Amino acid sequence: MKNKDSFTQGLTPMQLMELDACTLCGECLKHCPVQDVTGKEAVSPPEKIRLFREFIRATEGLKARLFGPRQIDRKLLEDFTRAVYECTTCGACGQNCSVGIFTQRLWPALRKEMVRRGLGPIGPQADMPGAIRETGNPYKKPSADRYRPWFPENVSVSENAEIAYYAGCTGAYEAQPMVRGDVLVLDAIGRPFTMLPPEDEVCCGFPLFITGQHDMLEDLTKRLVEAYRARGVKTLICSCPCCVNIMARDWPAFYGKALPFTIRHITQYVADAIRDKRLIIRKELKERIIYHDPCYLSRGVGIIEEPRTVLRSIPGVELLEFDRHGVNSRCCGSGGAARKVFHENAIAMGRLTIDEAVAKGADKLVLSCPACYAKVNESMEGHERQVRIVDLMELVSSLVERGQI
Amino acid sequence: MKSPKGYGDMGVILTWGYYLTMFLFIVSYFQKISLLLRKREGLPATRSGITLPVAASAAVDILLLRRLFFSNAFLWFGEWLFHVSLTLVMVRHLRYFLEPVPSCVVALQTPVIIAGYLLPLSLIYIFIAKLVIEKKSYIASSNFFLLALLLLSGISGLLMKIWFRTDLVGIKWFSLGMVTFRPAEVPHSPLFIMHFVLFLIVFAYLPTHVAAAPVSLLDARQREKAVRSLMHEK
Repeated sequence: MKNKDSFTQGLTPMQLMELDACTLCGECLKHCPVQDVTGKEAVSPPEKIRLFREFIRATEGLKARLFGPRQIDRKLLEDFTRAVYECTTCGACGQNCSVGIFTQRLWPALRKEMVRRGLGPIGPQADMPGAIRETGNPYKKPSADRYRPWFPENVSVSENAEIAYYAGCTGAYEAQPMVRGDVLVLDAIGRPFTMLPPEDEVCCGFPLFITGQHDMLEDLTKRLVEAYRARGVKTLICSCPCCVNIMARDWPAFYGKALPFTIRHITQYVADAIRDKRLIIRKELKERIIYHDPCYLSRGVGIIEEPRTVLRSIPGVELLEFDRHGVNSRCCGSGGAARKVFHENAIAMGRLTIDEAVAKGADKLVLSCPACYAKVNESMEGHERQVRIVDLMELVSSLVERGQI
Repeated sequence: MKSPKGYGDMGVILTWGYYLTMFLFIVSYFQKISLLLRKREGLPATRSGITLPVAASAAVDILLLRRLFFSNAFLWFGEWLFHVSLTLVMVRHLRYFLEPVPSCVVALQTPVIIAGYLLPLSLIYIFIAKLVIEKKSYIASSNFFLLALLLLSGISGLLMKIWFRTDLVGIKWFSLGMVTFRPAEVPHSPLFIMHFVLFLIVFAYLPTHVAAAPVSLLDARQREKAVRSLMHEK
């Protein structure tokens, strides 16, 4: 592809409008977690938009139409690509944008364009399609190890059930206490649930979507949806915010029609079970805990209250809040598949989350995302401030037992 | 077309400058629309329909710059004042292009004259807020260039009203000639010529967000409503 070919093929008309709508006011910089730790102007939302507008103007603007498109400097394109991949796509800029730009979707769209031009993705992100094709997960781990290391021995899974649980690749391979907690809590609720065999529970597509590599998305979606449909599933439960986000927002588009089941985040299912007295947490926990809202759960699909409902149902718990919480949550550094490439940024952002939790006097930092879980735990290593990190379902599972109704 | 007294050639040059600016403006917008209409592969975001509550809340966002208010109330004050006063000043300028002058334009004279004073003040406020008080880390030079042009334009307009009174009949003569395609002489006023040239430059540099931001604000409201139905109302 030539550097003077169209830059707008992968964008929706609304995203083109959004690019034009940016006033370059720079207000979003106050909310950008990457700015917090790098201060790099090139990575800032308005600068990325300004540059991309320049690319469009040079190739498809009025002057380009009249006198021919202008060749764009390769180095400039490479720098832009790096900037757009250094972003964690957390969407805090869009949440606080004075003209309401949906950046949590705009940045992945720009990444897709860079992939189309052969400039993205960067680093190990490029290996993900091959790894998923080979093993079903982006980590290139054997599918046989997807459940075995963490799945509780005393929990049984039905062949067919109206409720299904999707563990997700990051949970299964990188945040195992989290998915183990999910399964224990589902078991404690007592309703039969099904899971796909490990070789069939392939990647949901989110890592490919977020890095702009869309080729396999339709195939992955259809495989998973058909497999759950064949098991009579009516509700698909998942704890990973990224999986939940792509399932709720994009699976219908890749599947080609409405999904034959409902998507539920595990905190929704557990909050309902607590409300209906199907799950009662009797053990007391006299601790101050602070909950971090994952970006793709709170800003992404609006799940803010349910995790707090679950936490407040624990007797003795005092729930603290980060200064930025709910839809304004600050990214912990793991978002946008940037954590494996821009490791230092992610660690620095994770440490900001830890520092605030410690400063607020929390005994535990509660997370609800496998990527956050993996990276914030990693950020803790060698850091002078320490706080106990726990996943929400890991915590709940330690306080309930099966049949405790 | 001859005005009572003025520069004939300059009037023709400025009028053609105006036509050229308008032509390029219109063509560039048509070109943008054609870009929007082209077939694309992008994944659309989930959004609700445009219901009355969605439209009403989007109107509040647009007219009151609500999102900026919640992001930066200090800057919002200057920005809102600027947008309102600029709109009113533009309304006042209709009297140069319309004959007879509509009664609603006449009725707005007092608030619009106040807006004429507030316009440069609000721009100075924005400059100070961004550069001196907040010391913003991201400065878009194009924005400041435009603000500077608007400030000069506003000040030159005020100067013509207060100290260097210009022949209003001559201005109207020139303006009407421009919009009726009969170029007329421009009044003997270097200040007016500067004011008019500044207007042409501002128009040529008119930022794209003027048309696109209201659409993105409406879309944000539609998405906000739809996010609740994604996981909660099934």
